[in-house]
Amino acid sequence: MQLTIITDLNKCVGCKSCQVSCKEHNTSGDFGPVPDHEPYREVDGMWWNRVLSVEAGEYPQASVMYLPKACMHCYDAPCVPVCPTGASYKRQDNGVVLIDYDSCIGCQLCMWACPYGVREFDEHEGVVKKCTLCIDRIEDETLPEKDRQPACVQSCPTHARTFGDLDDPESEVSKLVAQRQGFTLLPELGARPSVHYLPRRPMPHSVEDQEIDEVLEANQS
Amino acid sequence: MKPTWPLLALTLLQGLSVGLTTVAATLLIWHLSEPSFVLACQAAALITGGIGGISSFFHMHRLSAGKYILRRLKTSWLSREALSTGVYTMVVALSVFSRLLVSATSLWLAFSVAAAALGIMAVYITAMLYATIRAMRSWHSPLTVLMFLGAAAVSGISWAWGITAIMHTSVPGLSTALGIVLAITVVLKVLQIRHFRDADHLVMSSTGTGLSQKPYRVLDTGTTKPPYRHQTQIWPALTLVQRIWGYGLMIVLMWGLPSAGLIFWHYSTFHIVGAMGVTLGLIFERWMFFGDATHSSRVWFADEPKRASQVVH
Repeated sequence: MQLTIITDLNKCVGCKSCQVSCKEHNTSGDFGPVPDHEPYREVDGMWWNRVLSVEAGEYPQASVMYLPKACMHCYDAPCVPVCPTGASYKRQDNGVVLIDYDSCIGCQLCMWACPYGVREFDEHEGVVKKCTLCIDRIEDETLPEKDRQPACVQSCPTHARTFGDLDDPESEVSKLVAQRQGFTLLPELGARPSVHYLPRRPMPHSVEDQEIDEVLEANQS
Repeated sequence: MKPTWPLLALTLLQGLSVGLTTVAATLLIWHLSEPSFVLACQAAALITGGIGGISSFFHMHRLSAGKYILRRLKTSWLSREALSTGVYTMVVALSVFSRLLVSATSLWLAFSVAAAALGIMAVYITAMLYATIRAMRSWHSPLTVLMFLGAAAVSGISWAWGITAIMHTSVPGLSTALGIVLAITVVLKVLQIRHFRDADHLVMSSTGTGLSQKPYRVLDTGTTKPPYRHQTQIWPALTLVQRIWGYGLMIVLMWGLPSAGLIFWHYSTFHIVGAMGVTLGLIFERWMFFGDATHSSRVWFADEPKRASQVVH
């Protein structure tokens, strides 16, 4: 089993609700833009899930793509073998990559090894932290079945994010990846991330009023 | 990557210590100098190696979990580094104390040779820690290992050269050896700087994101600000002026001053100036090794430098 999140880049509107709901659910230590122990410092806090805004082209042919980026829960996670204490590990039963804070020495070698830069250092607690795929929610049997999914997935207003088992060919995420040609980031670095994105469709050609008038005039003549 | 002083101290002092130990073992095997000079080199190696080892503790932010550091010897180069550097320092200590306390020449020779072999292995392991990180595009190269070994050789030989001036003695072949390793390391460093520049172009955020190769802009969301205190794998990109200063001072200090010392070798002061130059130059070299390195995630930071075509004329 390999639990993962699939993001449809056509549906993501960059509202950052996934980013905020992640922070709301997982708050601890430096995990806040204005942590309690230093509330007046620069707003550059820790975010386990960051929505990137990438702008391309020039007006009027400009477009913005929103890319939510969190831990990719890679099949061959490079952060796991480099950890000297075994604090970083990948669970065999569901493929989630986690950190045992009690064993972490805060050497940050895993942060260098992660190609995606999604591990963040909590200088207050002296350990490295990252997305846990809300492991506390998805394994909590006291929650209703529909709530056993990551906070970012549940909060997405456009349903751009889908959670499921990538190793199950019948799961929704597997079908989406297969049918919509889902892709991963930086595949050349060989980490085989489980988190996939569904590519954007081409932007429809915009027709100006002037062009319509020209076509109508041409037809009339 | 953000350069931190514990890493600078550990890697530089470990290299210096191993260089001195190797020089000492070589001199001892071939009977090329007085035992007092060899012992002085080994004592300096023990002190510098010890300080380097202690500084590595400051790189750990949770010492209470330090007892688990040897858990992943099978896969983690950092586990192997902790073991190899620790064993090396103990064997250097044994070689020094075997001379001071036991005075048995054969035992001293055995510990000295073992310390040199273990030391070279320890530097190799430390270098592999950096060279095997694929995401750190600048470091993922055999040049990293060669430069670490070269830096250890340069620093060890230059310090031994400086110690000859302090002890008013001479060691045949030491000046020649210094000249040779200086020439080899300058070539390695030039190749490494070129690899660092190439690394800037090895990863693109447009890979698989559906973006064209046209210029794009990562917009600053306001939650990621230099110096990226929570993302230490990233360091604000150095400007051209900073690079010129960093690499320029490194070249002048690490190769310029010792070369002057080799030309005026009969003045003992120049031996010490050369050794100090190499030491200071290596600090710049190692700082630039960390500070100028490109991590693959740099492409998602808003201060990624915009690049024009490299082939248009």
